[in-house]
Amino acid sequence: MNFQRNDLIGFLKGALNVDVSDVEDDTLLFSTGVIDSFSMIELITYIESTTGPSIPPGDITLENFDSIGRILSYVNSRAA
Amino acid sequence: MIQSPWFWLVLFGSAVAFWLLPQRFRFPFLSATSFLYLASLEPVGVPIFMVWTVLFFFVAPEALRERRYAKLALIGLVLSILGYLCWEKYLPVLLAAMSDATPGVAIAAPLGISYFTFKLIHYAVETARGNIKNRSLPTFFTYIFLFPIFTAGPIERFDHFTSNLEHKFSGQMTAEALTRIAYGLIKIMLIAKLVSPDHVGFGIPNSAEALVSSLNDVGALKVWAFLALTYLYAYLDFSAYTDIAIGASLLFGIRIMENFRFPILAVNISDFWKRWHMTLAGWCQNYVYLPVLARTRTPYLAVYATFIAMGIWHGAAFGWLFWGLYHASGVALYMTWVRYARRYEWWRAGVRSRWKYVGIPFTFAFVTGSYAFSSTGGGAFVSIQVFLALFGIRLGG
Repeated sequence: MNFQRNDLIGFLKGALNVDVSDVEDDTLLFSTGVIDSFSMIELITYIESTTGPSIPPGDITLENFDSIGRILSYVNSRAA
Repeated sequence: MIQSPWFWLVLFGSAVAFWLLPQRFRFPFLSATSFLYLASLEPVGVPIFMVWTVLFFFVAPEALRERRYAKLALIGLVLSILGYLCWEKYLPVLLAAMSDATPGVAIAAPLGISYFTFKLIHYAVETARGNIKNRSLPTFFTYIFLFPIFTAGPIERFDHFTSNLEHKFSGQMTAEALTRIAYGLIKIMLIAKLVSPDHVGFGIPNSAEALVSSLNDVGALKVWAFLALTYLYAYLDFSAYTDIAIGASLLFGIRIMENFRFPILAVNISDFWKRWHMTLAGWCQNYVYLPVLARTRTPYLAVYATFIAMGIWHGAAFGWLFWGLYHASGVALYMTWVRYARRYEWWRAGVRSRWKYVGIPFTFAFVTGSYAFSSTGGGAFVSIQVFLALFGIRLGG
């Protein structure tokens, strides 16, 4: 698995124009409007292109994708 | 329900008995009390709900445990309860529309069926996802049948329910509960009445029927005024019921999810849906929006599917379908605007936060417009007539 926290932060900042200075690992991204649905889809596509196979639709939930911490935890569990 | 002295007698009587009982008997007592009270209001529907509740409690975890069949079992459970909802709520309306039944005759579905259905779907999906671990029959029955929230929500989540229980009686908690009930009663009996169209006067139509019958003679400003008052009244009335439901639940040590956060101060339509009927919006985000988004990866489609589902959930009428399409279009336009604006430095530099309050009156006006569809009896043509009248356009009929 070749996916680190810095990769994710870099993508949020560079590709999605998110101001990451106030974003902590447990900051809710989608629920609080830091990213919108379009950005969420871009983020999922980026994770798929970086870490491997397509993410099953059933895994695309707020429990897995609503914060940096949850995303890293989900990606790591996929790789395990 | 709250108009009946019987409700208050059952509420306060059962709250006293609840805390006098040993802890292990409290939830069996509360679930039985809730069931019997609701069955006294709905003698046929509520016992049928009990059958569904037992089925979901016992069958869902067993069916979903077998990984090979879990997906099929989940789909089966969700479709079966949705089928029951359609049978009770939508089929009679459809059949009446197709027959020569007297127009305007209300066809009543069992009390609280829409809320009941959504709670069971939530339970089945979260069980399938492995998010529900601690459960017992009395807790689940209380969650499903808790009478203060059964008929008008909020749509509580099971995980929130089980993790927000107070097991010790305290005077402070009771005072908080009674204060919240008092807020609700003051809102519903005093403040809501002040903004009710039938009390305001100034030549504003005093009911939807009066508005529709005099639509060709009423100016656009008065149509705006009527719909704005209807919106304010609906907010005060519904949020008052929520206050009473939350306060009444807290009398049993149960902290229920909030449902409103000053929606009239929403700065955009997306913000509005984070403030209005929050538990319904949250349910639809989890079980309609995200699944559609995950499968199609098309945000616009997900938005339209979500709001159409919300509209149909509210009622079996074209007016509610149009209401859903209207809100979906508003959210889709706002999403497009944000996506466009985010590309530019001036947006990221804080223009958005400095100017956001300008959005409050526009959002209020947009939501006011949606009441043309939801408050005029549900007819397709009539709701469009009223909506166009907001802009001075008269559609004959």
